[in-house]
Amino acid sequence: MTEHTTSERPQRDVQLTVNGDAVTSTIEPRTKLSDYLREECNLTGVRVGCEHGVCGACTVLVDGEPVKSCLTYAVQVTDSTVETVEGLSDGSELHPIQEAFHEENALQCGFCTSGFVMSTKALLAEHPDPDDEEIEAGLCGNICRCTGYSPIYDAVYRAADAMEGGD
Amino acid sequence: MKPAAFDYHTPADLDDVFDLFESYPEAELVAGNQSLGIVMANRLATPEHLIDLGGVDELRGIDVADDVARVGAMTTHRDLERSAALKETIPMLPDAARQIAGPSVRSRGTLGGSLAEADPAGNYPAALVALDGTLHLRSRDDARDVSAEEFFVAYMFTDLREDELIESVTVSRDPFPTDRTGMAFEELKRAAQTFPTVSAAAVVRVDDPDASEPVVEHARVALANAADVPLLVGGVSEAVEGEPLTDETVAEAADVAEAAADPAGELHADTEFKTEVAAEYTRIALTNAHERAIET
Amino acid sequence: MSESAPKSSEVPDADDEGKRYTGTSMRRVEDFDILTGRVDYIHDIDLPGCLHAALVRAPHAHAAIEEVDTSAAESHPDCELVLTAADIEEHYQQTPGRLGFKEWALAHDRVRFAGEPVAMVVAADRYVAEDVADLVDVSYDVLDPVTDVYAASDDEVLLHEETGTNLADRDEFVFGDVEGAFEDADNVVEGEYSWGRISGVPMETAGAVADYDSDTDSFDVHCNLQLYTFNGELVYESLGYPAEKVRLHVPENIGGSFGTKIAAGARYCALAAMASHQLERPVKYVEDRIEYLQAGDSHSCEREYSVRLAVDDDGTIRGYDVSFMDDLGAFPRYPLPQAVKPLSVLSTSYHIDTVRYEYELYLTNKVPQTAYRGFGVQQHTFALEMTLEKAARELGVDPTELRRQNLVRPDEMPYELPSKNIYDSGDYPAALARIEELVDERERCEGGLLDPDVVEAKREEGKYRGTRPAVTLEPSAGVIDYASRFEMSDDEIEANTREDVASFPEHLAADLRPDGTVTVHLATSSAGQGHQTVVIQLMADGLGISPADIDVDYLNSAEAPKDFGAAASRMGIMLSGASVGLADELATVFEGAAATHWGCDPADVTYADGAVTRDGGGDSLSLADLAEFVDDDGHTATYGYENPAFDLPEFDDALVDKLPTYPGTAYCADAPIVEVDVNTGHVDILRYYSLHDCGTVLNPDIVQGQVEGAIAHGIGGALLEEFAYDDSGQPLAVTMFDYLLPSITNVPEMVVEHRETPSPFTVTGAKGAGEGGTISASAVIPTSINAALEPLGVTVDTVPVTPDRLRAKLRDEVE
Repeated sequence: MTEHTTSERPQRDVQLTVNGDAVTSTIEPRTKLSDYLREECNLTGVRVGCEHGVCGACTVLVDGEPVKSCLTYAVQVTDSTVETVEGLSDGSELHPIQEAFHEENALQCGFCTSGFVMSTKALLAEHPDPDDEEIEAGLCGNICRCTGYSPIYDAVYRAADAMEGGD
Repeated sequence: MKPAAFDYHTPADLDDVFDLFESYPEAELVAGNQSLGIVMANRLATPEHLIDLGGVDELRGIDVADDVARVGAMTTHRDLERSAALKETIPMLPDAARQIAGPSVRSRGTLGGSLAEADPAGNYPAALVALDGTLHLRSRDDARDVSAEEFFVAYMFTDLREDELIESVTVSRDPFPTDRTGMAFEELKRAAQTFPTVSAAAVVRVDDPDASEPVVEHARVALANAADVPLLVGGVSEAVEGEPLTDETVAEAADVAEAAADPAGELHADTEFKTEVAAEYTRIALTNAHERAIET
Repeated sequence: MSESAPKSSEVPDADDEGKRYTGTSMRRVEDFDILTGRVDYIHDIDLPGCLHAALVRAPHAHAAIEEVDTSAAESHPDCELVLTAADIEEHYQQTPGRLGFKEWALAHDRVRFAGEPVAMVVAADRYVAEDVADLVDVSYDVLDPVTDVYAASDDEVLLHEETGTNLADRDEFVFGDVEGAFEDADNVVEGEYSWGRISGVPMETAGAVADYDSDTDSFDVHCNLQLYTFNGELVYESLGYPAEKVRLHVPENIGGSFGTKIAAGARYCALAAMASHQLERPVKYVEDRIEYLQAGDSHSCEREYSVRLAVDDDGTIRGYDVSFMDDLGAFPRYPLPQAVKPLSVLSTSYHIDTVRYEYELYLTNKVPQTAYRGFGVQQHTFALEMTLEKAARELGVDPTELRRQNLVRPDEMPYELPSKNIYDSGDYPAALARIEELVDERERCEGGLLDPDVVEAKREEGKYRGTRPAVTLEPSAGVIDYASRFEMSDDEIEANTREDVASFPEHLAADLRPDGTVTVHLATSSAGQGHQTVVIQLMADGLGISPADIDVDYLNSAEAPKDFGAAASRMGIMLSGASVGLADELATVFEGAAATHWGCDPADVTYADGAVTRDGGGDSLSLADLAEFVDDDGHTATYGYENPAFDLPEFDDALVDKLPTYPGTAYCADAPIVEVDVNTGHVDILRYYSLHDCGTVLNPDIVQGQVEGAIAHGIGGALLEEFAYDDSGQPLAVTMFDYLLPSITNVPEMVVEHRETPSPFTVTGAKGAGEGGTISASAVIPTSINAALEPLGVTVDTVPVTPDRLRAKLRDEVE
């Protein structure tokens, strides 16, 4: 049990490239990557839904691979490249994956959406032309409580068509 | 769900690790953090020091030689799942890896982390017991090999000493000639995001896959979550070896598994149910492994 | 809505003359901010200088609190505040409950469910707050727990000793000569059915950010409550402040609720506000997922049904007698009316004139109930459909024929139930016929999932397939006045008159902005239903302007009238009715302002398509031109859409008797194709067919999303989800590894066909669409499992139909 004040608790440096920007901080090692991105980088599109690695709302890409940022301490991925949903579009145009989710009505409350979009990005990088089974394998670590998933399949197919292997 | 404060150490090689062991004997090793991260978030574990093995390159990697397949402890599930060499030679390992959670857990989770955690529901412990694999353990002054079957001592408790870590795992290729061996790892899972109720890992080798009735030369089944450790179903060999696989011999093997299973009841899976499905999954895994043995 | 959301790409071409948006799948205006990650949920709301709270929760289901020692916590250098029940008692008030119960926001003297909050600590961030919470030392004297309704009914251990019983409430409703019907009928079929404890489990947990302002001695509380303009007293009465001093704000998006955030989260609003009041700094508390699952004030119904059906040999149903015991958990909370809402669909889609309906509500050492999608109707529907299954078996008739024979016919519409609610419109027999036809054409044919040869071959492998449809109902847009019956004696209900019935209009306000665009203010929170989009569609049509020129935001609880909001499949009817009325009201205001400006009679001014013109003359003003002449004192226009049941004399009897009235009754006929693996007990839904009728469809894609999402909830409830407890009262599903939400691998392809039978009772003809799939799926998955297992004679009596439960039945009854 720690009873140290902030200044006495262990601190470590972390440096990351987040959505293309270099970020350097000194933080408590216990800081989860999800909290680091949300609070230090102000990337609140990283949603925290369960904090035990089940729901997938916090999914981000670390060096291109999907990762549950709630089960990763920020210090564990120092020197890595991190992508969040905020990095997908410049704020005026949607990325083809985002556009596909929009067109297919693949979101309702939207709390899971950032995670699904990032998992879809990883899925399409590995399987640019996925079938149902590959979509299920790629998205089975994300839970959506609103849509019943049907439109999410449609969104992935639409995004795959739009991207045609590119990005 | 925020962990208690800890200090964090990033050794670059095994020497660094052993130095840190000496400096912080109570430290926890962390690999992918996919299980430890949960118990720390709940504060069921509150280590004051974490030693992250992520930077120790010598613990990573897959090397399939003619006689043996070696997988470094820090190899991620994703790397195992994607290994063409393992798919070719010891397909149970990529198959077991592929069925762990979703891709984002598999990006971080590692073979060694899963073995050291020794959750009886875990995939690798049962797979390695079925494969008769060997764990290579290292301490500063010692290296020793322990068979998978002996490594898992009790519920989430292993033979690993406090000054040791798992360096790698090897599986001998000799018993598994690819042209007449089949392997299967079958999970019974209610939803993608949860743990299997039971899993069965089976290997079957036949004498001649082209024969009209290939004879089973070697068969081995291990069950996950059917006891407090990964459970080698010893009687399977006797039930199915030395004759062609039939519904009757498979049923006999399933009966043996049912008798051997000693599971703990859990929510929506009482002991009676788990025992039944341990038998059913033994049947399924053996059948599938056999099919692959004669297909190859 | 955030300023930067571009909308031009979201809407159909506004130049298209005469274009109507209502009824089209206009893309949702909510999406852009969500997809880019910039929308703020409650988790994301950050006020300057905000502190963070954590809760100390009880480890025991039932215990007396002997001592709460806060000294170690308070001596932690980063501790800002520790709040206990003693502090609350000193400074604040109890939270109002139902049936005369009141609660303290922190457990007082006794804990009554595992995870009940005992203390709140506040620190600079959540990590440190949890460090400090660990230092609060509570000593308990552990008591025997009450963990089910049967134990509760013994009254050996009492939840609340002062009441002398664990029976919180019971009531009985008798419609017609029930005893006579059961005596006269050829057969009496009896059954017992269990419904496991489930809930909505939205992806976003509950939370609050409270900011006390000492200058005005008032609070701003940002929260994700579902009915924040209606149930605000849970917060302001807890604080001991008047409503206008406690402004509840909701973000534009709530991360799902499904009824749960009606009660869940109110405690957190009160506690965060108390802490902010003590510290005079903003305080944020968001529960984590384990807290949500263990004790987030968020579980819902858990019922044991005993039923009897009086049925003649020819299949005519003479009477139905249903009683159930519901496990309320530790306190009766606001959503208690889910015990009586089924009276609004008493005999569901069937014509049964004689019915007895009885309930007993018990207090136990479990999480108190909140509302959940379906609000008691899915349990009622499940029990009745299971009873019909049993009746068909006992009579030796085809269950589908028995259902068909007893369906309410279209020529009986509008159909008044013995319990006095009225079904507005629909053709139930046609729906059943169509779903059967769909299944026959697509699946009971060569190559189909139910190809008889395939079915036979699969049985050889131990896989049994089948489907059995039913027509189920979704009562929508209730007049929630009946909720107050729980606080009234029988005599008071007897003396109730039509004038006593409280009205619950849906409120909207609008402002004309200087640039000629319109902002519409909602008085309800939105949790994914697409309210903003639907309001914009209707307002664009009503005003004849482009959707791009309409913006939507949310009133706070002090600005809004005490409104009801998004619950009870209500918004399709209420928000659409309100939008139509608001557009008319705005047109009148625009005409009046122009008339004043021109010095003419308002009758000589006409508003149309974004401009006012003076009849006969050439004068015309665009909305931008008009804006400077419109009185901007308050809102440009407001409108309250009265619930249609309130205005229709047909519903008067029900309203006077405090019986639930739901003017829209949507229906569906669903047929899931299930496959049961008899060796493992696992049920796989291979495809799900649904015929759905919610009257006029306002936005087809949004309706489709509601239907499919609701079905997915029904699948979870029927097969996967359960908040089970062990004998010591410890919850067994406190992680998402154990509380199993349907994942992408659990939800099958859905084939949904819509028909539109407009409601004659509602302005737009719309009915509700949010709950039907949940109500239906949790009944027709069990009926379809029965159909699949018919060769083995195994039937479902408990949901969720878990593999171990099914295997136990197969073991005991077949093998």
